[in-house]
Amino acid sequence: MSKDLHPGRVFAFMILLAIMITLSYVISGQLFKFGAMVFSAFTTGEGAESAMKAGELMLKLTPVHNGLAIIVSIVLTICVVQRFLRTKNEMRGAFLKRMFLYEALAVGVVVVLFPFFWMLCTSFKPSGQELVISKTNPFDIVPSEPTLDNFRRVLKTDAASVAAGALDPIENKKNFGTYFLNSLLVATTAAFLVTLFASMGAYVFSKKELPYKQQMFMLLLATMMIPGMMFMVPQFFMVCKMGLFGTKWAMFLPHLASVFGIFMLKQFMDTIPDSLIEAAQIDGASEWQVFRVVIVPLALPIILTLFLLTFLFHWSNFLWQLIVTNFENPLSITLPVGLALFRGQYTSELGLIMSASCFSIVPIAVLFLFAQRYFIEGMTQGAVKE
Amino acid sequence: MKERNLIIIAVIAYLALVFVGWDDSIATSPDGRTILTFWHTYNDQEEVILREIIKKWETGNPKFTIRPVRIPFDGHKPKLRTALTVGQGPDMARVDWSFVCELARKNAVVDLGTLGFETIRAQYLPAAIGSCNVGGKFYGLPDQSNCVAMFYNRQMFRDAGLLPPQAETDSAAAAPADEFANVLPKTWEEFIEFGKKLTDESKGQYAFAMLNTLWWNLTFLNTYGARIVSEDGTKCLIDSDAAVGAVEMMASLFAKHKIEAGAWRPGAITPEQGFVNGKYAMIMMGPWNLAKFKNAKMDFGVGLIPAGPAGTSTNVGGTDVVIFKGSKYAEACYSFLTFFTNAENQVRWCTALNQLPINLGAYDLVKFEDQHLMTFMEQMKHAGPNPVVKDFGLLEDLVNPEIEAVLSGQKNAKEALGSAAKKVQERLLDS
Repeated sequence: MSKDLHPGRVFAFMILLAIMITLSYVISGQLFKFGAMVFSAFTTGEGAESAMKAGELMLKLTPVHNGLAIIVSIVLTICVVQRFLRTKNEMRGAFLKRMFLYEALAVGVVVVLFPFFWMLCTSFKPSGQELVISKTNPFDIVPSEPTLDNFRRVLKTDAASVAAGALDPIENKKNFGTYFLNSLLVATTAAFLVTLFASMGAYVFSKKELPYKQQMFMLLLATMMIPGMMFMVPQFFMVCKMGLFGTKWAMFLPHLASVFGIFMLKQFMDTIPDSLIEAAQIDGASEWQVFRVVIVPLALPIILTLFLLTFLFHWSNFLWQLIVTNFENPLSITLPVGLALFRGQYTSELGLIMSASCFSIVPIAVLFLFAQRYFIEGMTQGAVKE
Repeated sequence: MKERNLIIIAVIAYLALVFVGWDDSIATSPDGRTILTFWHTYNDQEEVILREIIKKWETGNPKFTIRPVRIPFDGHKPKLRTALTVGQGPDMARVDWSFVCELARKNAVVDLGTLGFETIRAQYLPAAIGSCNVGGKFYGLPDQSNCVAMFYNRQMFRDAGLLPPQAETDSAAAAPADEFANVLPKTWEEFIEFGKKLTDESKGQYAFAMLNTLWWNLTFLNTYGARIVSEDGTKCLIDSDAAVGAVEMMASLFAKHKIEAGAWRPGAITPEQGFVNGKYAMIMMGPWNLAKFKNAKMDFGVGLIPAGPAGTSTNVGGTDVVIFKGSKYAEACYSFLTFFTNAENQVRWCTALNQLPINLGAYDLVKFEDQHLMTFMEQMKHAGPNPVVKDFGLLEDLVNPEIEAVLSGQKNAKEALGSAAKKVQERLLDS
């Protein structure tokens, strides 16, 4: 332990420590309370009375989650103080800087994740209490009378839905699971086909010689200037004439030709040296092999970026999917359209929308987690052209 | 290698998904009856009663079966527009009241006069049926109607000494509405006086909060007897003295008397949220939020909108049902829709769902346990007609910014409404 403690550094450390204790107590307090809330909601049944029972259980658990938050804060404080005291005097400036950085990052994480936390908490709130804010602590957004009723209604496992479903098998299919599966299929298939066609198109525009190639490319780009709404009715007319109304094909078929995708991939492929392609051709590679072995691996980050963007577009494409949905057949209803069914003329079932959103963000989060390296790489690579 | 495995797993999972979920054919059991498709936007509880009424109608009409198809309210207009363009529309549909005029002008819906509507027209609430009246012909009939009344936070009234303390023992639902109604402001002048006692800017508490869209503002305008367009729909009247007076009074609540929270500004706490959290003592709201406020365990009451020079009044909202010209069975559709909205079925519908009746015959038969709904029924009798124009959205777009300019002090009411009247006349009524 160092003998000469610099008063300025000690003062700064004390301030940072106080901020850290506050942050750790508030954050861990909310997280443990959330855990207690989920536990209470799971252990009680369906209906308003059960929500009250869950609220009583939560009250009983208050000392537990408060105690846990205090323990976490104390343990963290002890660790940090020990670390500070063990740090050599000349390194304490750097220690304080790092501590400040971590605290700033913690605040940043709270700001970024707060909407998701709000979504999770709201999904457990009974109808009518979604907008109620705690009078004692406005930042305490964990519901005091939690319920799983929103999830039950969304998944149609509540008593009323089960009874209605038993009478009508078509009605039984109108549930979140069906909408989710439909959207997953539509978005994945569309994303795969768009990237396939766009990468092949971009390869031709970037590396092949064609008469009027530049003019054709400009013509394609010009179509991006026309608002998509202009195409909607003619495209819908075509889809209906093709007999695809209400099918999954109709959800994405008109959007398979992605000019934006071709443009983005072409910009990247222009940076791939022609000599690589020539070397492959000298080694006897066919056109398809050049595309598959040389172009695709090199352009993978940007291709995956396009895949993600297309997936996101189709995952949340409300208007087109609404138009081509055959509402008589629940098997053609996708997630954005299904979620809109929870909104009425004057009111929105916020609890239902939030509980459905808890599920609907999962595929996007998983995709992003797996492909984030490529995604970030792809976003920046297109920006630089040498 | 690890990535390759992930890709293989993803491809296998995708193929399995395709195998399980791609097929979208669904088994239906045709039983030889003619199907009448009815697109609606009801919620789960409403759909249960709808199906019950459909069953009753089908027993008297064995040749037909009604297929109720729920579509999202948010997208019902574009869905219907595109479906009708390619001939994929339903036989009948429930639409927002403001959409009937557009459908009628586009010659998409049946004039109910040709089916004998004149004989039963008087059964329906005049303010609600007004939205179906396009050029003197009726192209739909109301199936659900709403209006707004004034909601009061009783606790804030008690804190300000405006409600007798003995009422504290009353629970929100059990307290007699009449007792509370006696202490409420009857006129806008009284409302302002109450407002001053209820506002405490230092605590962020305001007496009143309002939105600024034409539909909500109709309440103020109607209490002044102002009309937006003439009865024949050819002249914009929004620059009348009555309308100017109403908008000046609205603006004074915020700028002069400082009892309105400015909830109409972008990013402000909405009236609903502020009311639930005890920030706003009074808001205009419809019956659709009664259950929500009760669930939020609020102590609130409902009273009539304070009277202006034309007495108490309110706006009217809701939905209408229409029959499309593409339907081959317009008479059967008409039979169903009139059956659906007759007094007997309205009583069943309204008592089960706590909604206001649109059939005058049901007014004396419906008795709500919730006294607040009885206040709404009383308020509904004073509702003013909505402006029937071919594009209500455009009307809102033209008028709302002008009223906002008055509320924020950028223009005076006469100047702003004169400008709004000119735009509405040129771009909506004369075009």
